[in-house]
Amino acid sequence: MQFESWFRSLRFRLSFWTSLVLITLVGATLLGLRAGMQLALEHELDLLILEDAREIAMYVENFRNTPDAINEELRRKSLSHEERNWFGQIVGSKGEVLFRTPSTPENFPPKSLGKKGPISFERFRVVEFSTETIGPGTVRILVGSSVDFINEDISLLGDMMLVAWLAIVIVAPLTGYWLAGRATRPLRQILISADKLQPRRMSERLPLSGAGDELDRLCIVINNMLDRLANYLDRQRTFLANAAHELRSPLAAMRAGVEVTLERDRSATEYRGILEETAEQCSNLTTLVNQLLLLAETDARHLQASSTTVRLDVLAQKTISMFQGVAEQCQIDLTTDLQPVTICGHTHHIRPVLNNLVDNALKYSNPGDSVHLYVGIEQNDPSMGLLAISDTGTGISAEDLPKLFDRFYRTDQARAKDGRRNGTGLGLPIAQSIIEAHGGTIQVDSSLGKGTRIEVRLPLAPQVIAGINKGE
Amino acid sequence: MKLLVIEDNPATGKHLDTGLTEAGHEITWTRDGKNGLDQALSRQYDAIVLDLMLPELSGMEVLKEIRKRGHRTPVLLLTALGTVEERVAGLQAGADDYMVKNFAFPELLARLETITRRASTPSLVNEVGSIKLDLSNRRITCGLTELQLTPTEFSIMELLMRQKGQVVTRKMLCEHLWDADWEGTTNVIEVHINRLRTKLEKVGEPQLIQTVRGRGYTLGAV
Repeated sequence: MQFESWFRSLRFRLSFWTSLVLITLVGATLLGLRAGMQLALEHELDLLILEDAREIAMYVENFRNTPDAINEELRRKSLSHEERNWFGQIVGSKGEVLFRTPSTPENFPPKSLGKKGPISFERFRVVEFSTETIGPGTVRILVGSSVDFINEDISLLGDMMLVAWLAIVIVAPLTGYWLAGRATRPLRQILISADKLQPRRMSERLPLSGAGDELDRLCIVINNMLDRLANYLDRQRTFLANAAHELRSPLAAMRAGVEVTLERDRSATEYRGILEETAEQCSNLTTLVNQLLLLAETDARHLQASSTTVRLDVLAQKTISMFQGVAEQCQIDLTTDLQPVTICGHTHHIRPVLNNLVDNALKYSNPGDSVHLYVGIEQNDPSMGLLAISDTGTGISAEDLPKLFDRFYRTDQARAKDGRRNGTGLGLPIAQSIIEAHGGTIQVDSSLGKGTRIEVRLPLAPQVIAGINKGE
Repeated sequence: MKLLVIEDNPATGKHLDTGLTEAGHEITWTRDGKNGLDQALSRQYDAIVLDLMLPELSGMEVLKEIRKRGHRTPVLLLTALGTVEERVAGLQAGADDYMVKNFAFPELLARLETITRRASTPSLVNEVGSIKLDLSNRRITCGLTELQLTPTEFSIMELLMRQKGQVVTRKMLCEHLWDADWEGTTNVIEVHINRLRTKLEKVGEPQLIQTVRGRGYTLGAV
């Protein structure tokens, strides 16, 4: 088991593969070198014997009529190059052998080879040179020399190369393993440090080596991720605490109401009053719990799978008809400009967003103000739908603006218990969560005393999908 | 009506049992999916109230089995969750309606009535006191005077009169009027109720629509 994990370790694999590649490359290079060496030496030999053939040709021309002299010259050359088994043969124009040194191999054919270039014959290299002379005819001179000495040199060289290669075979994996160990040591340190990280101690971070290399960058990336996780966990913790607090207050009120009622016997009317009050508080609690559930649902990004489409303008129209009565009562001018916009999503998710935004705009407007709702295609980006709600109401102060989407955050106006403007503090966070789960954005622009403009951008449904859904 | 309640939670089950019995229905209450399924298959009920999270056999399995055996008894699902996906899955499995737990009891009653009545046509003319509602020409008259109502006001009256003597919650009205619930603090119904009351007062019926605190509205006495 431990052996297996060693095989799989980065250190082992790194050194194994680099060594394998190194050994193969060096081996191939040495083999190529040996072959090249052999070729070069043979080529040199070819030049030498060709030179000999030329000399003999000149000799033949000069001493054409004294064959003994030619024979003597051949014998002399054969003797002086005896160590490489030099031999010579002169063939006449009719193919008859004129001269042949005794050193010529017995099975060497007594005729012209018919080839100009050097060829290999058994352990010999042989060249042929023909004299283009006037007289009884052209003579062909064949000169051969043994390649044994070359082979001996090459085999010696080969032995030396083998020794060198074997040395590399032993040294390369060892040094490779050592170097890979050095290279992966910071990684092992990261592993040890990361292993100690705990969800309860989110303040710990991986140490940086300061080298600025890839491993340092990895640590920075992991640390950034930890920052985000810590931030997220922190927000969740605050959210949970806030949620518990929000649930506790109405629960306490209900309990107190019920306990006080049970203290003594009361009239049916009194019981009825208390029960009605409790029912009202229950329904408020239900609203809060439903909102928390909706937040949890959208937080988990369950909405992505939704493949249905909705007409944003149609939903907006329904929302407007829901709030028109309230607007009239508060003497707020509620106007619309709705163009057909189809987006991916579900009515159950988009409606609460619309309702909430329109409700907010009305809540924070005073008699005589106006609220305008626009739905259309975003002009700067034709793939997005734009929903804009602008009002001329009270506006939001600069210090409230950045906290608007914090869960349970309420402005001073919203906290005032005058009834009309209070809320759970979850409306906008839910709207944001739903919009983001649909791949959209929400943006608030406001100045105190002048009014607020909220812009929601949502990706349009692809035309094909829209067509299919209409077809159904 | 003969109703079968399949619900394992003792508190919810007891409330359903008491509430539905008091509303004049005959209740059989079983506490697990297996017994519930046996009951549903062996006797003829007018409607089944089915909890989704049950021991032995889940509510969804019970529902699918009932539909597989060809029983067309209306089924109202109850659940603690309530995600869109779950609702869709329940309705696709053959449920007639769906309620997320922590519901208002009048709403349950109304929904049960709706799913059992779906086949039969509601009467076109409805009367409460001196007020007469005619669905054929969408007119509301008091004696010989016709009430000039907006479409929203007419729809409110229509639902209140259909459920006369019973409580109609804000949620039911919202869904009836605008196809969606509104859980915000702004009371979007009240404006229209107030206007309706004003109009009714002019024809001599100021007390017709009553507010039931914490629950909703009702026509006539509670």
